[in-house]
Amino acid sequence: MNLSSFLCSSALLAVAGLQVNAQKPPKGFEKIDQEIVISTMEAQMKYDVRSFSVKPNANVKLVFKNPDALPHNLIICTPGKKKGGDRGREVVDAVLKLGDKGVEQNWEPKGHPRILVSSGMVQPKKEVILYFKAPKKEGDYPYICTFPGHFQLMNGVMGVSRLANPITNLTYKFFHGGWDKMPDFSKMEPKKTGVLASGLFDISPRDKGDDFGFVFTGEIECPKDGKYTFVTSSDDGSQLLIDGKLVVDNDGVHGVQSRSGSVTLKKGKRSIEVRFFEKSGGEELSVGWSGPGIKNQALSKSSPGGGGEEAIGLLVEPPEGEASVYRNFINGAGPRAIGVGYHEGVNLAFDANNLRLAMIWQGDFIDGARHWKGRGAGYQPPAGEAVIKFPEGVAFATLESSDTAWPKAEYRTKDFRFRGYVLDKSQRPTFKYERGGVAIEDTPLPVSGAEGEFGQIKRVIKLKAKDAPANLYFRIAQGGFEKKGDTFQSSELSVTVKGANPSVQAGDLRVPISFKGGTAEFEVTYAWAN
Amino acid sequence: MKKSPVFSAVLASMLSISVSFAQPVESDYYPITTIPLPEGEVIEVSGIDILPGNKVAIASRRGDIFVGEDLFGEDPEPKWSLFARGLHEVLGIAWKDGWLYLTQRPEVSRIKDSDGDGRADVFETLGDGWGINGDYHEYAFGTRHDKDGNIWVVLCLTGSGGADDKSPFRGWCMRVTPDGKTIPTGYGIRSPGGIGFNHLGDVFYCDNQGLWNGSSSLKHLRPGGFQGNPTGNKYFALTDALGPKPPDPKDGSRIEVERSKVPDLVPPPIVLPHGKMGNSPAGIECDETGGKFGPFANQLFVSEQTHSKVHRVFLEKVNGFYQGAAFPFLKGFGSGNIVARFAVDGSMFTGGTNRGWGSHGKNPFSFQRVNWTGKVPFEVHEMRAKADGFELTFTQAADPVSLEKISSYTMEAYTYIYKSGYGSPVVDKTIPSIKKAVSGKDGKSVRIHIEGLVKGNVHELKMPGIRLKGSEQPLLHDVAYYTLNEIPKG
Repeated sequence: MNLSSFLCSSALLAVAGLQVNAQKPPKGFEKIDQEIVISTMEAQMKYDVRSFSVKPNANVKLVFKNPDALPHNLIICTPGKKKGGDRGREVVDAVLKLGDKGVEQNWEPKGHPRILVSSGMVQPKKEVILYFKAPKKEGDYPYICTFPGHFQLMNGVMGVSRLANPITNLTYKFFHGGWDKMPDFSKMEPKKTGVLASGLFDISPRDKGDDFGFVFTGEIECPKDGKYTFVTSSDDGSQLLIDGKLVVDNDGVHGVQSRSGSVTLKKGKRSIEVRFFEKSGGEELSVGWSGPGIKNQALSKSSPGGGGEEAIGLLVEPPEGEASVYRNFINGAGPRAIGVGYHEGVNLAFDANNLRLAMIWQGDFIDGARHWKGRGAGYQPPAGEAVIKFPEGVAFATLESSDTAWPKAEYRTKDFRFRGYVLDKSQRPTFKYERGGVAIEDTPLPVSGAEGEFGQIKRVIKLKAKDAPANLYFRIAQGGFEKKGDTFQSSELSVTVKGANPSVQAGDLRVPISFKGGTAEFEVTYAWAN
Repeated sequence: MKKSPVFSAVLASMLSISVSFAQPVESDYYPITTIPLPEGEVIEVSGIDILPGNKVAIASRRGDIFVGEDLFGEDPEPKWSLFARGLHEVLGIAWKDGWLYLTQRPEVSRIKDSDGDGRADVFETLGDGWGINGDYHEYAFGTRHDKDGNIWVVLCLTGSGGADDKSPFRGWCMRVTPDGKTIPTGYGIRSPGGIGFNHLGDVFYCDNQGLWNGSSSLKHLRPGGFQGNPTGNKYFALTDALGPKPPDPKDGSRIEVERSKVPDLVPPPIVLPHGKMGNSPAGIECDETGGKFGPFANQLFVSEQTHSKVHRVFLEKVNGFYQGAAFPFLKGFGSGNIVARFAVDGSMFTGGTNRGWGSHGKNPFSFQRVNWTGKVPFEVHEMRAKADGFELTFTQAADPVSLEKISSYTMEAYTYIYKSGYGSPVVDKTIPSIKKAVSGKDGKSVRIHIEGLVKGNVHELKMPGIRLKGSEQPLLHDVAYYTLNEIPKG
């Protein structure tokens, strides 16, 4: 099923004006992963929640209350070209273009590609419940009221992040200045302010490496009455306050150092503030908490006190318009793995021991922390989601017949020789390897997905041989594939091949290679199944 | 965290001068200059080479290669550009004929910028005839090209003392030829920290204290040579290149005893006494600057990771075997020294990291430059074994009276147990007796006659009484460690 149509239909589940308790969750939402309550603020033209975060694919229940005297709606938009940076303006502009039709359509540009979820117009003193599945793709999803004139003030951001947490309304103020102790930021003019929709304390919005400070404020939802412990790990100083009271004092100029503090809190939302400053050298801020039912949950991209086992915090992010290469021990691709992250949001790992595509995945590329902190022990898995693994062992083999069992997987094959790769202008590799007298050029390329959709990977494989071998086969994947039109579908993967005739043989999706004049070429497109 | 002051060594020396003007310090002769690295990058320098046009390429443990210009001069403000990213822990780089050769964990590769945009776009795998299994210990250190164009690679064991079936040739030395062959060349390696040539093109590496290594040492990679740790000998099953598998040495013995039974066992030319000289020797760089770095032409400079130092090593050949003396040279580097590389102007670039293994220098990584000021330090220049003692030469004339006083010297001899367990205490300690010291005519040498030299043992010579001619100035470093595997015939 197409993602956007699914989300549109789920938006229809919202029924305006009904009592909350009377509304039963639709099928598939028996179990709710996250519940959010957003209310309009009377006579202020604002939502009370300006940011919240949810995990990818989470079942979300969103209660939208409108105690105000005016009608309002809440439309969650996809990130768009500016990755959420336009706060959904594109959708508001579409409302203006509706002109006279605007009133009839309740000020909603129905069918706009950036609309993810809509509450419909909610009349004064009414409320609606929305059930929806959070998008697969991490990012900032703005939400807005599209009633004319409201947008400027009535907007917020839903962060979709695997590290989603119970912090809402997280904002930052960024300061310049050199200090040896935590200064009184309240008397200073910030250089910059912003929203952190992911709910994660994050010092990356800085514009310099030394002599700066941050004040973060937000609200944290305590699930139960009880004792809560907060920890900060920072270089240099940090402090954490709950309801305005200092709980963690990690002040002063120092290397990465962890301090914690405990406080007894009632169930419900508490204000949380973190102050941080950096003098010179390295800089780091991690925040976490523990409490009833919560064990060492990170409230920042890196988790504090992880010690040597910590394997997140150094995400490798492909630069704009480029691919990044990461050669190391990658879980699922072996010790001689070559990870490639494409800026388009798709990733792969190539196994240079067996000259095969080992894995593809979506979202974040890979975190370098395991290999770049401490001695670098162990295999690092992909950082992103929707990981698809391909069979171990070689991907090319000569077979007696098309349904002969595929040769057993070896740790490292001796049949092949890895020759390296060339990078194009966008740093995207074409892998080169040899099998006997056959030279193979293997070019994976990213294909961007539509808004809210996964991208794909297209792979062009060219072979050259003086004496073309007979009965050479290429194994694309393993598992239950069914042919539907031109594509072969399994539960996770949808494969199309151009320039060759794949078939399902002995549990594999295989391609016979037929050489013409000593060369062969075909193209495989890997798409994630819905 | 506050960065340590840029010129901590220089500052320290200035302070000591102001307090007691008398004694010179290392930085009077060899100041260390810290070279700024690109902002925001973590460059744990693990390889350095000089490119045409006086550019310098540096490789990092994270697998990046940066190229810098304008690294010379008093207060360098280099321009850095990214050449390549995401390689597999590069521990050795070498520029040759438009290509940058790299030793990565699983392979020797060469890379090139073919379209002239400043970034490498061709990455060719040259030789990969060994295995890795995912253990972080399976490091691969590579040389520059030898005279035949080969790159020599030393492969650390799996873990601190294993040899995994999935990763062939751990603990071996391999040569990767210009046409991409990987030739098994030596064996018996434990945990190398670096590799390099002497001025004759012979190959040496440093092996760290551990299993079958009583102390860290500098070893000579003679083709077919056995370096002492038999863990990787199982891979003789995979190659005929070095003949049949030799017998294992006896556990708990001495190198001196076992070398008579295991003929290929190469005694370490230089034992670097653990804790005294350092804890973790790394890269080896020969001074072939023709005097631009001072009076130590053709001597070796050994990076020391834990102590953030560079040692100096003099080698001679006695009865066909390399051996010689190690001297302290320079301390106070910013991080844990891994590599050093001389530039044509006589600058020695040094790079280091302390990730995973701590160092005295507190910066997580550093890239620095050492230059000779032109002032000659008062040092032992060379130390040669004689049938009944040693002959020392000095960089400057010494006071002959101080040279001839027996009380100017003390000597101890000792060794380490050659055993399968980790490290060894100092054992077999003796006090050889200094009978006579005879100054050369000009005071630039001394011949020390000794009774009780012990073949196979380290001879630690202290020379606190030696003075510069016409001065009260002692040697800048008054200790030497000579490894006496062979005693020359009279």
